[in-house]
Amino acid sequence: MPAAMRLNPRLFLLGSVLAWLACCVLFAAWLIGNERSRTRDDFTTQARIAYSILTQRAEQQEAVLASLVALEHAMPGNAPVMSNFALSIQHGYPQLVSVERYGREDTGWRMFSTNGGAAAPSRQLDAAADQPGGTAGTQVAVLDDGYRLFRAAGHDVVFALRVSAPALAELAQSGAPSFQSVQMRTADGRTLWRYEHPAAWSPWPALQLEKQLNTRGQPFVMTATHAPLGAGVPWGRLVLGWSILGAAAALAAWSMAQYRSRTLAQRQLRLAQATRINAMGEVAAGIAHELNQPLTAVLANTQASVRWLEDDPPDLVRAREAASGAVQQARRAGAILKRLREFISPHTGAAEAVDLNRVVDDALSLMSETFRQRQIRVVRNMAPNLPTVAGSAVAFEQVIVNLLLNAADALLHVPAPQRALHIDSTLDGPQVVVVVRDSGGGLNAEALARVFEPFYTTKEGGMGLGLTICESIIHEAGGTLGAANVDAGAAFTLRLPVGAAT
Amino acid sequence: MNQQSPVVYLLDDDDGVRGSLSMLLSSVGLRVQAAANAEAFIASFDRDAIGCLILDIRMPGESGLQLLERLPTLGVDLPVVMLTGHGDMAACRRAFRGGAMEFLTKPVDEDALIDAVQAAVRTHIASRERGAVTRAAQERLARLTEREREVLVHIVDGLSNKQIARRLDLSPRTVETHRANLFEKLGVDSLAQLVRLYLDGVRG
Repeated sequence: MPAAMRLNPRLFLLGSVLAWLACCVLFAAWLIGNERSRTRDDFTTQARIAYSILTQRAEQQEAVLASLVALEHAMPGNAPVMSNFALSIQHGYPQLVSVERYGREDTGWRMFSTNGGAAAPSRQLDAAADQPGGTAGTQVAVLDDGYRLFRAAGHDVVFALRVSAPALAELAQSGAPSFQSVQMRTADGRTLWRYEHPAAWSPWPALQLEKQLNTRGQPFVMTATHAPLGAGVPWGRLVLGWSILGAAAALAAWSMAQYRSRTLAQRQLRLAQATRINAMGEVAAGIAHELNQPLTAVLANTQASVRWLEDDPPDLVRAREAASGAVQQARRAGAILKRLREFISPHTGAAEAVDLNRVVDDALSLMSETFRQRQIRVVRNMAPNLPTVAGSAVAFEQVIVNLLLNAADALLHVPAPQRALHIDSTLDGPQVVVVVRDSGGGLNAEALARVFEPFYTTKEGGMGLGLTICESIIHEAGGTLGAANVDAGAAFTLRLPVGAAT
Repeated sequence: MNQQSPVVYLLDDDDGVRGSLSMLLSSVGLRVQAAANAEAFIASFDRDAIGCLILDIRMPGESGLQLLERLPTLGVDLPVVMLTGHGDMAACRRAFRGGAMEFLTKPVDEDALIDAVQAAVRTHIASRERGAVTRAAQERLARLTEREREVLVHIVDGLSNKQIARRLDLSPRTVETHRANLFEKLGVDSLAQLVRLYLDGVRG
C-alpha cells in the first residue's frame, strides 16, 4: 500500500481539494498573464497606428499652412483664389473645421473663414504675426472642441486652421476602438484634446503609451491608455478551464477510487482465501477428531475378531460380527474423508442445480463437532422437496458454515442450557429461503447496520470478512443475505432464486 | 458369567466405539455393561459390583470430566479409565485431579486397554478389602465406653498410666482397670495389636 492509503481519508480529501484549488489559481494566473501580454501587444500595435495617423495629420496641416503662406506670397490679397483654395482644402481634410485668413487692418484683424465661427483673439494673432515663417513658426491655441494652428505670412497676414478634436480622436481610434483614454497635449503641457471611456475598476495599472509626434511644426505628445485586460477578466475561458480542471480532478479521484477498490478487492480475495484456509483448517481438525471414532472402532473390532479366531475352538460367529463391525466403521471413516474432500475441492464456477437442504445438512455435519463441544442444541426444520437453486454447492456450503460458525460463537455468550440454534428452510414464492437463527443475544444497532461491511467485526481477532464474503457469494448467485434480531438472538436470512443448472 | 466376576462399565456416546470396545473386552472374558450416556450408566450401576468404569471425555450434555467429578456424590467407587480423542494436557490433568486412574488416547490399543482395566479392577478389589478390614475394626472399637476410648487414644499416643491418670484426672489404678478392660473387649494381647486395630479403624 502506498503511503497515501494510510492517510486519514479526511485529510487526504482536504489535501486533494487544496491541490485542486491551487491548480485553479495557477491556471487563472496563467490565463490572466497570457491575456495581459496579448492585450499589451495589441495595445502597442493600436497605439502605434494612432500615433502614425496623428503624425500624418499634423504633417498634412503643416503642408496646408505652408501652401497657404506660399499662395499669399504668390498672389497677395487675391481673395477669390484664396477662398476657393481654402474651401477645397477644408473639404479634403475632414479634421479641419475651418481654414481662416486674418488680415491686419487699421481697426484690427479681419477674418476670412471657410466656415464662419468665432474669430481668434487679436492677442494670439499678434503673437503669431511676430513669429518667423516656416514650420518653426506654427503656433497653437487650445479651443473648447479642438485647437487652432496659426502661421504668419508676413507681418500682416496670419493663416489659421481650426482642428476638430472629435475628428482627430475618431481618426486616432479608427484602428483601436478599445482605448481607455487618448489625449494630445502640447510639448509644454497644454492639453489639446482628451477622450476618455468609462472603464471598469481593475487591480492592475492601465497600459500606457506616450509619444511625441514626429512633426517639426507640431511636436505634440500623444498619450493613449488601455485597460490592462482588453476584454476584462476572461471569465468564460477561466470557468471553462476550471471546469476542465475539476473534471480532471474528478477523473483522477475516480481512477484513484477505482484503483483503491481494485486493490481492496484483491486484498479481500486474498484474505478470503486465507479465511477459507483457516476455516478449512478448523474443519479439518474437527474431521480428524471425528475420524478418531471410526478408527478406534475399527481397531477394537479387528482386535476382538482376532481374539475370537484365536480361541480354541475359534468363535466364528463373534469373529464375523466383530469383522463386519470393522467394515462398517471403515466405511464411516471413508464417508467423513469424502466430505472433507468435497469441502476442500475448489468450486468450478459453473452454476449447478443445488439442493439447499442437502447443503445445509452437509454444513451441519461439518459443524457437528463444534456444536457438540459447545453443547449447542441444533433444531433443524427443513421444508421437504424444495426446488433447486443455481450456483455452487461448495460456495453455498461455505456460506452456511460461516453463518453456523458465527452463531456458534455468539452462543458462547449465553449459558449452555440456553444455547439453541435453529436452521429452517422454506419456499417463499420464487425463492428458497434458509434462516439461521441463534439464541446468543443478538446484535447491537451498530453491528446490525455494519455487519456486512468489510473489516467490521465484533469478534476478538476476527477479520470482519466472513459475512462480507458470504454476502458477495449470495449476490453473485442472484440472491440476498440479510441480518435481523429476533427474540433472544440474531437471524441471518439467505434468499436464493429458484433455478436450474446453467 | 456370574455375579462374582468383575464388570467393566463402558460409557461412550458413539455407537461404533461402544460396540467395538464391548466386543474387545468381552473377547478377553470381561463382563461389559455399556451405556450411551450418564443416566443410562447410573441406572445400570450396581453398588456391590467389583470392576471399573471406562469413561469417554467428549460426550454431548454432561461431559466425561464433569461426570467424573460427580461420581463420589453418586456413591460410585469404581476406579475410572478415561478415554479421549486427543491427548489434551489440560483435560488429562483435570482427569487425574478428579481421581481417574488411567488416561488413554483413542484409537486405543487392546493391550493398553486391557492392562488398564485389569489394574483398575485390582485396585477396586484392594480398596474393597481394605474397606472390609476397616469396618471390622470399627465394629470392635464401637464396643468401648467413652472413658475407655479416651484411655485408648492416650495409650496409642504412647503415654504411661500415670501420665494418662494425670491428664484425665483419675487415679492410676482406675486407668489400669480401663486398660485391662479395653484389651479384653478388643480381643488383643499386645500393644502392637492394639495400635494396628486402632489404625485400621480410624483409616476408614
